[in-house]
Amino acid sequence: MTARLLLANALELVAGAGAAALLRAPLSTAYLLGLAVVGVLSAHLALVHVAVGWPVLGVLAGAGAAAALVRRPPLPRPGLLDLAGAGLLVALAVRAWPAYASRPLVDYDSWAIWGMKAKALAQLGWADPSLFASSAATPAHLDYPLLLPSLEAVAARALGSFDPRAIHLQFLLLGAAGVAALHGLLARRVPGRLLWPALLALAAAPGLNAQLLTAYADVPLALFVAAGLLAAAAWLGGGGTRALALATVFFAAAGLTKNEGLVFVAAAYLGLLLATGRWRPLALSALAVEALLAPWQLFLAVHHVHSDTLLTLHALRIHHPGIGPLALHALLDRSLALDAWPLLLPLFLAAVLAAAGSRLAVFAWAWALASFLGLTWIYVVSRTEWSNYFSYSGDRVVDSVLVGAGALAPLLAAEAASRIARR
Amino acid sequence: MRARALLAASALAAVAAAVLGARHTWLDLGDARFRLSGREALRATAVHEGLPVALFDRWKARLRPGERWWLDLPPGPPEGLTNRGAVYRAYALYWFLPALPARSEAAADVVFRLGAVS
Repeated sequence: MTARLLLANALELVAGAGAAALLRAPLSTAYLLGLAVVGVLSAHLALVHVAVGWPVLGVLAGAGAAAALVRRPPLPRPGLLDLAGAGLLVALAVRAWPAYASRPLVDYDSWAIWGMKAKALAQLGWADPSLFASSAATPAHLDYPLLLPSLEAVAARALGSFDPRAIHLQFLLLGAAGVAALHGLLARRVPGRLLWPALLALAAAPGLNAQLLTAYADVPLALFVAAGLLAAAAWLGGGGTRALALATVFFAAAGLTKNEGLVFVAAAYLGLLLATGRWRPLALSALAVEALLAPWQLFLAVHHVHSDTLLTLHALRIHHPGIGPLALHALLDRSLALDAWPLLLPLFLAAVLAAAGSRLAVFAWAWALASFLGLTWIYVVSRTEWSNYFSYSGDRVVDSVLVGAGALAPLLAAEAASRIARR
Repeated sequence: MRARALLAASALAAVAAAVLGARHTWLDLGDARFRLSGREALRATAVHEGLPVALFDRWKARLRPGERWWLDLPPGPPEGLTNRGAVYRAYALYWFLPALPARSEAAADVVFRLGAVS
């Protein structure tokens, strides 16, 4: 059964290799890119009664293989440090495998929201409005988009049924895909001695591992956001239109993973605008993200599914005036927790200051600040009593900021080192 | 000089973060294994939430795929961001698939009633 899950993921990887070749992206982004492409496609096809299973995966992998053969992306040439770092990551994954393979769905949102939708997509074959737009299913956050449940449903079809234990392995594989993508995007510009400690710090962070194991959407979202940020940083560094296109795909995947993803995506565009002043390519990229989200937004509108995202007028109704500073303080407190995200935020702040004055530093601090303020605003406008709401979500909503910051930190350090060397 | 010191601090923080995180995570992952049979794993959600497993099994056995069900129960006491009754309803959505929730009791093929939730 697990072999069939691995085969489906291998097909997703090959599909992503084609997309990576077309976008001239590093080959190690292929797996996450494949999951993003299959995730977006399967989420939208689910709206029109098309289930993504072996035939569609086969077609996507075939197209991906053809594109990769034509474009032939360069293969990485690992050094000793790369082999050692990769060895440590593999050891961590081997240690993690039994925990993921044996865990049932016992975390509330994992079965009540994500797992329920995934099981429904797998068993019904599509996003049947009699469930996905039913007032009786409102507690399942019907306005949350379908990328993650769709990926789970693809995995369930590969497994033969929705297995509440084996489905966790899809999350471990997504985690591996994310870390590989971050490595690929960093390795072009960051020397190994700066890259590996930061990447290992991120991959081994207790917060990341504990939350990925819950089968919630927050860590997958964080990985899409972080990959998008690094691709955007490559565009900032002269990577050309394809780098921005790569960022666009990851940002769209983030927006289709969780509504909060749009906070981090909007913050990224703000940071890029402040750093470059080039609004035309950024507007085109943002429009492309919106176009990729549009089918889901249309589904919500057609079926009158209420959404309280920051993109609606609800975002302007302040229910808890005055709690902004308290919420921001609480978010920072969670971000600095040594038992969840040890030293990641200080590491990022030191790197931003070291690279101060560079466009990359402007992008990084503007994104992080806007993201924290955006998260704070969610608590200010939420109808739920804020401290109760925070106690159930505060440790998770910061994931994207911390994973994004942790991913940007070695890039900032490399920028600072190169500026020092030029003096 | 200041940039050099910050760069060194950043690099040191990365190494320390990797060591601290890896130690914590390595131990956590070792403790995170479940040893459940297939049947136990399927019902672990209900057991974890303290729901009546046998009752939900009986209710599910009465449903055919695609049938519409309605769950008539009181809200019960507050629980987390919701109430106990909503936990029952959320679990019914998950457990009764591929049967679907009805929009109203009148539209349901099967109605389940419970006088109190615990």
